[in-house]
Amino acid sequence: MSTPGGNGSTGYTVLVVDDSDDLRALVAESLRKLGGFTVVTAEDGVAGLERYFEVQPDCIVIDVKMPGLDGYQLIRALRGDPDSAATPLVILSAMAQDHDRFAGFFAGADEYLVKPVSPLELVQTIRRAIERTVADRRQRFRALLTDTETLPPEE
Amino acid sequence: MHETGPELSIPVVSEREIYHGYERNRRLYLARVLLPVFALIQFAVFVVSVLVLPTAHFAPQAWWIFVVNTAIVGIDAALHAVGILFVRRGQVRIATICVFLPTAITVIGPALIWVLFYQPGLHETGPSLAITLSEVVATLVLIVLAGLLTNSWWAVVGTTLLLNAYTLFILVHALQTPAASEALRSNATLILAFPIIVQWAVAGVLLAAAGTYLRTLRELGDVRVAFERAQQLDQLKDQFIAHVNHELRSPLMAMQGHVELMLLTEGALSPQERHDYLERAKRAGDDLVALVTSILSVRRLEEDRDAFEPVATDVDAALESAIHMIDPREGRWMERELRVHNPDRLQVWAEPVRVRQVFTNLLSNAVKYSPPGTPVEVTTQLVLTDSVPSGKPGAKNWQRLRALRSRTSQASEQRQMVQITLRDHGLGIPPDQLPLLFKRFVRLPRDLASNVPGNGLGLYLCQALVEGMGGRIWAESTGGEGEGTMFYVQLPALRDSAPGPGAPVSPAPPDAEHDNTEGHDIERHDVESPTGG
Repeated sequence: MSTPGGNGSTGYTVLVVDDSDDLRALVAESLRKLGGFTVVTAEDGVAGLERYFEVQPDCIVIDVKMPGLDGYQLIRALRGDPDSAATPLVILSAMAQDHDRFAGFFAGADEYLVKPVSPLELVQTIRRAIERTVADRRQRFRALLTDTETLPPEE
Repeated sequence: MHETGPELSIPVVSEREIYHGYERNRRLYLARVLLPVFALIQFAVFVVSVLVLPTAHFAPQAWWIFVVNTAIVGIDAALHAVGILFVRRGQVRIATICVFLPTAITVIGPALIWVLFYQPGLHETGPSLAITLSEVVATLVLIVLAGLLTNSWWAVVGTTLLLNAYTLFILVHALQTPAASEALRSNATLILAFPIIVQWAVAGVLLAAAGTYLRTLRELGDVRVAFERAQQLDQLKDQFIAHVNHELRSPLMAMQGHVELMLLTEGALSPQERHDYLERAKRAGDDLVALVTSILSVRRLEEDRDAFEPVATDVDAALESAIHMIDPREGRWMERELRVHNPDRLQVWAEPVRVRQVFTNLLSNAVKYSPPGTPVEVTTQLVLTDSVPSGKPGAKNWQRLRALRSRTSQASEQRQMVQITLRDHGLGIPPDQLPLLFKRFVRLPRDLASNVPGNGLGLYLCQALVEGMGGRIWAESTGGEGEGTMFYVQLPALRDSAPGPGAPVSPAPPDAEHDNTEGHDIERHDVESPTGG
């Protein structure tokens, strides 16, 4: 784990899907500089999906309103696939109303950030989401090892 | 910025619809109150008839009539019950049928019986007279109800007349037989004559009452109309604010975020990175300014649509200044050829600043939505159009303008307009999406999928500006790639620029051949992109 705000690489890869060039660049730079993540970007939902299967990122930052496949559709597609079902998904949207938030969580997002978000907050949210998933996975793995019922019966 | 907004439109309920709703409620209310009363009356008559039946001593024919009468009353009661059911469901039409049918049966049925089974001495028996009387009363109330339900006073008056005729028919026939006339003279004449008077009195009172009630409802309707209009406006405003709020957030984050990122990573940034960050922050700031300016323009325009001072405006000059207003970054264009064809140096009667704003928006659109290297053509011509239909924004201005101009020339039925056509050779617009173009915050799906910046306010502004000056604006396109889009702007022409008779009548297609041979002012504007594409 890297120190907060440090530049050391965390080894985690984050995919940023946003159709606005400047915002995508901002998010990518923030994640690289402040979080030490490896960042891959995509400019719309379809490209995001393709990029996902190429790099298998640890977390995805998704804008909602995008041409073609929008954020919700992308999230549903990812949640429907067993490989990506557990990947933490963070929505970064300009839509600030409660029902937008609900729609985001309903689609399957883990976090919902409303623009404008400070780069630090963004990085921390993503790091938290990744760490939570990793811890969760570790615990499940440990449970699997200690649970005698799931072990093959001794002969 | 490439985000679409829902089309800002709220279904406007017409006054007619509101009144219609009130009418319907009124009728339903009356039917709800009155129908059970009738059903009860009919039912009571039915019960009395059934109770009397075994005890009465009739001649065989009279007995049949009595039975048929009773059956009719029974059917009436049943139909009314059905009517009540449909009134509860709010189905006025079926309820009306359920009232009309028994009314018809009650009026026509006994008359037929009289014709078919008439026998002297029929009305000597008391119960038959009592039933006739109760029928008359029940039918009277039914008639009024039928009239109210169908909302036609002719139904009330007409059916009342029919019923009166029926009662008189009974009276006359009964009097023809000595025994019956004896019976009637003793007790039934008054009984039969009285309902006629009562019917008219009750119908009159109901009519007057319903008239007053209707007037009150109309007044309430007016209040309701005003209320709903205010509510719609409020809703529109809310939507607008929500949308603006949403549109502001993205550039705000881009601006703030880059600055903050710079502050956080100050020591570790290379000069190039720092420059990039600043550049992007600046660009986001520019977007914000453009958006705020657009919104303010829209607001200002909406506030005072009528406040403009028209002067003679040179189309060429307005185009010239508009070209300088276009942001060279837009559309990443390197070099564009702008062909202006304005042979008659036409002038319009408008406000130069507004005309320039319209041209700026249209030219910048033409540049943004057509591939680099393709020319943008501007043609002007004088056309005659019919007067602007009243009720449209700008109609008031037009009238003012017309009053002004008619001092110098005899006012004609048609008005002279300068039609400015802007043509690009871009992607074109699918014809089914053309009507959406001029709506607020609307961007075409294709543009949303592209990197062309825009906030969906430009053409809305153009339309508001042009209409505010008494003109009109529209677009034509086949949607075919390379065929481009044509934007037409019509503005009131200045008197002096009239070329005489024989001016083409709108809509006149731009004359391409004419362009080549007599193209007077062909300008070339080379604009270099600072970013190099």
